[in-house]
Amino acid sequence: MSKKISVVAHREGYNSNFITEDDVVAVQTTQDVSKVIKHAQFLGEQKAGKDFRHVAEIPMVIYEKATLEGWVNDEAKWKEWLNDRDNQVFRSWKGKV
Amino acid sequence: MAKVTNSFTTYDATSDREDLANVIYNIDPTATPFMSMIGSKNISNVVFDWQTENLPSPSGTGKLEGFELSRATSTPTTRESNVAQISSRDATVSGSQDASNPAAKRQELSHQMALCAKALKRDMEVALCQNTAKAGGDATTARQTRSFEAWLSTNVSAGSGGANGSASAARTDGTQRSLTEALLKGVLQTMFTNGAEPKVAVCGPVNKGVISGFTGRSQARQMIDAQTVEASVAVYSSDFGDLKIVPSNRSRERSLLLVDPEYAKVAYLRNFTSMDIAKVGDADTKLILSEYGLEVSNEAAHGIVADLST
Repeated sequence: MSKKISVVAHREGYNSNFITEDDVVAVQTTQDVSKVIKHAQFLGEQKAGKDFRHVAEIPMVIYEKATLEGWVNDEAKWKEWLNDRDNQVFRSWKGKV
Repeated sequence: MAKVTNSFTTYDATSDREDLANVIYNIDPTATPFMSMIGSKNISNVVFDWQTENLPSPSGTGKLEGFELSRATSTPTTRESNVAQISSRDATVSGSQDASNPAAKRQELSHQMALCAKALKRDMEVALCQNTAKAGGDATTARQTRSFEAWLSTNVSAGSGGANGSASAARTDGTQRSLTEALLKGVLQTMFTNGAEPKVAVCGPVNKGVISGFTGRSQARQMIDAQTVEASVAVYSSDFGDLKIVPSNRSRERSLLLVDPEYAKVAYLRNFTSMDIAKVGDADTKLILSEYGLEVSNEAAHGIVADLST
């Protein structure tokens, strides 16, 4: 049976597709995060704000994953994510959160 | 460098086609950040209520040795209520498509329903987080749930002429002004004083860009286009805790909502339900609907910087 894909969201580098194939429906989201990395890098090179320190930019696809997996409001999990060495490219201020 | 590549694939949420309603939640939840972050509950009537209470003001005054108890007046709870409203969308697939390929028709209907589900969620996000007064409804007027902005009265910064909403009225918009670091800090400070701990700020892409350009980052705003701003959630650290700035196209661009997701819920009288509609011609129609309202468990847990330039 053919596979059918409908785009349900399309923003800068972010794509969410609704897919029907055989007896299964699926939602698949992908994001090109290169602009987000550049954005975080750029903010990291600027002088910090007086009262607000920019810490990181979380790609929307990761925020979506957190929403779907039920940890979007879990501050401890976010701290873990922000302090993970693999996610340092999204950090503008590199200290421990 | 890190393992990050230029393309992330995060998940594949799958379901039997018949359980289409189950994937509704999975369709682009970041387009409806407010309803996706707050909790949910079930209710059993179109009018639902809950109670809020406040602790008495703190006192550091000591007691005499052998003091005689003078009983304090109890702090009464406050009963709040809201109503559930109905939102719906429908999709129709023609009989010609059915004749040519029955499987394709089912497939097409699934896709139409997916698009309807997304549209329905956007309708709900608008109804929940914007500025609408409660309307009880009657035979000719639909019920309308009192939306988030209309609840807020404690931690508010409004433009000239702006006024808080009430049980029967939406908030009155004031004169728009630019978002500044001082305005945001002012509301966060008020919230801190009142014991609130907002975790998330929901605002339009313009004001998320403005926040990037706060003191010391005057170049930043010029370098960031709106689409880049929409593609990520910013994390800021301040004297009052960490704050995530979530861009939203469904909240009002003129308002920055400071939300503690623990203190708001979508109250469902009927969760997402899809049903077949009786044929009235050469086509099949499915309806998808939800009957829901907003419970703001304690409005003092939230805040708003209102009347911002857009």
